[in-house]
Amino acid sequence: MKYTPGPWKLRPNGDMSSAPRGGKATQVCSISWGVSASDDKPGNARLIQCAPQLSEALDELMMLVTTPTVSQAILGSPKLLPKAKQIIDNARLVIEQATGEQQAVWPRVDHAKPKLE
Amino acid sequence: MRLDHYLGLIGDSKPEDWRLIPRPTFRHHFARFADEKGEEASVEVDEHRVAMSFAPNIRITLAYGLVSESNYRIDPKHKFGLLNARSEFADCFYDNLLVHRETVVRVARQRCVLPEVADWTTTPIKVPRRKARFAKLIHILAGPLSDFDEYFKEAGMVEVEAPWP
Repeated sequence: MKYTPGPWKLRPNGDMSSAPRGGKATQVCSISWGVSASDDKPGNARLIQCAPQLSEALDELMMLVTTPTVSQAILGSPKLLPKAKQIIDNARLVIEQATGEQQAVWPRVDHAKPKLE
Repeated sequence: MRLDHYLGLIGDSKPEDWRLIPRPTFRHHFARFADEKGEEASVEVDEHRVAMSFAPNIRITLAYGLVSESNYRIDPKHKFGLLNARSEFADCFYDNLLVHRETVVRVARQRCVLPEVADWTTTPIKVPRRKARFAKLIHILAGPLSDFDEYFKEAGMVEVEAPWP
């Protein structure tokens, strides 16, 4: 599944466009804030703009924790392991939601998918 | 020094020969962003993600990570054709002069750095050995933590003895 590459930029009229290198901008969406006078608008806009980079960064972090060295270090630390498992599983679920692709449950690597180590 | 000798030194080098220097690389440039009509919409300062110096000969340096095309198109029939990819520059310097620019492609949602090829539909995709080694070096030094050889194979690429560049 493809997505419009980042960075995305929000214009004052609510149009969200990609700002790609080496190509024309393409419209991602148009945001209408409605009648809401919420103070969250700028924060929401920034979050949406960064969605592609957030997804890619999380994917890279997952690659890091899936490498044997890091996996073994986490698995070998009884103090760290329970919390780390929760955090990694959370990240895995978010990546699944963002990509629509099923991800291997840590620390197992699903060899049918693009290899992570 | 001849260019082929220079690139041979890089292609035959080992990852441990290189010292990585994170941003700032002091090789900033102005990146133009186009609007939907292709007209210049804004100009922003950009730079490579990382610079690298070659310890056995510090006249040789690399800089990697400037995005060339953030929406790089791989033929949809290719295994990686339906996943996001972007092309990036790996710039090669000698005595601080740009002597070669190699484009590499981060495929499969940026999960691996592979060499750029003209045609992604041939089987197998033949890649000059040095070009493949160069991309592998960049992948190992500054790319994601995935297995280059695995992706190279999955992409249908094979190394061949052919001149490069």
